Amino acid sequence: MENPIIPQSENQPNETIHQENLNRINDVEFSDKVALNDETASFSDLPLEDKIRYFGLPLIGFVAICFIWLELYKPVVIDEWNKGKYLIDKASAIPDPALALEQINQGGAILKEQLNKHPYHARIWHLYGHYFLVKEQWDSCMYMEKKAIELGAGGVVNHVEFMAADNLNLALQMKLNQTRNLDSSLQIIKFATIPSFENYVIDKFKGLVYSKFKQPDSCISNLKIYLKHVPEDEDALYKLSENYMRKGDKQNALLYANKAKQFLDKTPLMDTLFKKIKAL
Amino acid sequence: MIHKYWQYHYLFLVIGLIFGLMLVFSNPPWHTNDEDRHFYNAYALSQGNISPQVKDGKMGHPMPANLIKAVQIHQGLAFNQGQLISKAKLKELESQPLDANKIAFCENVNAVQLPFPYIPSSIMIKIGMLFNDNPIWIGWWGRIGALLSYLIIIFWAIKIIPYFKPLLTLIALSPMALYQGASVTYDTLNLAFLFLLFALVIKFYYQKTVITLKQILLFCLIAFLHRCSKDGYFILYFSIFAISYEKFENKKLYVSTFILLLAANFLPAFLWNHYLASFILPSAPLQTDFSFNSDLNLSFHTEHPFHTFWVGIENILYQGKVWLGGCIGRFGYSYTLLPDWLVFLQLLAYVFVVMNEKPDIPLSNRFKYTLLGFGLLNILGIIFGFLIMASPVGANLIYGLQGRYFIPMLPFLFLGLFYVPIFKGKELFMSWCIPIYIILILTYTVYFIHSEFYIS
Repeated sequence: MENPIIPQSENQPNETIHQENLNRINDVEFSDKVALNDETASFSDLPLEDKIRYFGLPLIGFVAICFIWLELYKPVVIDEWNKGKYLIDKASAIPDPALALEQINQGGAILKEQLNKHPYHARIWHLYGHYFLVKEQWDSCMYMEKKAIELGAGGVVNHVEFMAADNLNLALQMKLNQTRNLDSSLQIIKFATIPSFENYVIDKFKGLVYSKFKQPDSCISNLKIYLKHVPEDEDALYKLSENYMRKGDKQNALLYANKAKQFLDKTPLMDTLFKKIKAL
Repeated sequence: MIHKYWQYHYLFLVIGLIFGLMLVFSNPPWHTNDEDRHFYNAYALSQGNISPQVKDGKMGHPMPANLIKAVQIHQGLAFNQGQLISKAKLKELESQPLDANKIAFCENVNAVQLPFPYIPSSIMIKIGMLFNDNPIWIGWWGRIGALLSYLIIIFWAIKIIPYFKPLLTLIALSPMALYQGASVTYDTLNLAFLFLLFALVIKFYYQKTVITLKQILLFCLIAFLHRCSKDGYFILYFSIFAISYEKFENKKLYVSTFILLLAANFLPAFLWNHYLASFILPSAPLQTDFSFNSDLNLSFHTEHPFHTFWVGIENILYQGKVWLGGCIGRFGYSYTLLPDWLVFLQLLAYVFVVMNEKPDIPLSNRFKYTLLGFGLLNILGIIFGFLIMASPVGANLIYGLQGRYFIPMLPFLFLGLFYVPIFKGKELFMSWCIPIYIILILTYTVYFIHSEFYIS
């Protein structure tokens, strides 16, 4: 359909639009033109209707910007799962243990509900694991943190797997302190192990467990693997030295005892260890 | 009478060049948000690498090890906890050799980005390396390239826009816009092309000839180039429809414009993704602690529409001040905000210049409100887009949305809200007042950056 306003002309493709038509096409109202062109026009001369028409929207815009800028009403916006975390974290500041426990359980209930709604969020699994850590329910903590690591490991930013591994290792340590035999300890360690995630602290725990149940060869091999990642762990160095001593290997026992000495110097433990090594 | 060279586009160029260069060198190396990842792309492009490469299951590009190290040591600096960059140390780093022969593979999840927005930076990197190929200087060359493209495109925008030059100049030379313009990021061309589109819409509205096919093709080309730079602003392309259809050469052109703009929006991503499909690329999600599945998120929010609407409102109220601050000045990965008084002053300045604009023919309410509508629609699109695509499924808090994403909508917003056609024009006063104001604000900004990030 041809433009009805512009006269037809074969030789003039870019037709000039006459002023009145331009005003009509652009919807320019006569009163706007009058107000604009009148050099003596002032705000007070305008009728009320025009004042509202011209200034209504700018006033609304200005008020809206000020409302946001001055934060006249600032709601607290928080994700539901973080609400649960917040309740658990703040419970430690409550002096009454019963009230503190109630708040922890409230937080836990929120996290459980969120986990049911969003089982694909690794971080909620981790937060729920943290709840069980606070409640000293080690098995549940390990299970939740394992799930968090399996779901959430591998990102570039905002890693959850390292914090989950810390909780997992803590719960594992507490659980291993309660075990009475090698088989059940190794079973617990196996439960805590995630094949797709390198948690070298597991090797340390294995070493310590073997040391606890007097199996120096297995202890040494596992602690050596661990020390490749953390060469300055005084616990591991001490245990390694102790187990070499049990095997009668004085040279290696002294080697690792001297390494441990840098961190545990002048402690009764080191003094006793050196005396036993010298006695070999 | 204003001198012929005392024109907004020339003033923009001169002030933009002086303060843009100051920002290039004052902004800590690779400090702008995600500048490290954008820089890797720009450098790779300067070496002729258009597509991502894969090594050991990771995506990225090979580049000199010293360059990667220089970028990495400038990431994650705890500026908010008082860590500062030593100027003496930076001077030392400027003499470090590149050792271009010692190559390492640089992992970069951003390597799948369309390379178009990095062209200006990569050209300047290539040229600059002939003079100084120290790693820090390579970063600066990239920034200079970006700055020049920003200045050239917006110079043209301000030159062609018949009215509202002060508004466009003020926004384009605001601390945040110029800071982005003087960094290696796709936001440089994103801002420049959108300001140009705004200028064209105003030009078309005011021109006394019909809008021709040639003009529409130019408009769509710029929309296409913009889309090649960055996603998320396609709603603004359609602001051309604020102009009456009678202004178009014919109805066929009016309809074709719609189709061409749709094509301009979808073609770049379609073609690039088609090209990438020929490579076997590892999927390396940026963040895995939450699920950011858009389908799941959309389904969750459509099941609770009122809750979703209320979440949007609450986030505007909760994060709105930070977003407003981010439009004016929130710098780098440290998210360092300019002082409140400066942000508010800048917002008032926008209101002031719009209200004092007096075109010979007033802007009609219909056109004004339509422009405002497109601006607001794009703002809401970004807000809810981030809720669906960048926030965890079911989140109440909108993640990752920064105020600088709203800068392109500022001309639409302020014109739509605050243009009032009754004040007498103060052209002469504004022609002096605005440049002086901009110089003062940018001088303070450069001083602020120096004091916040550096120790002598």
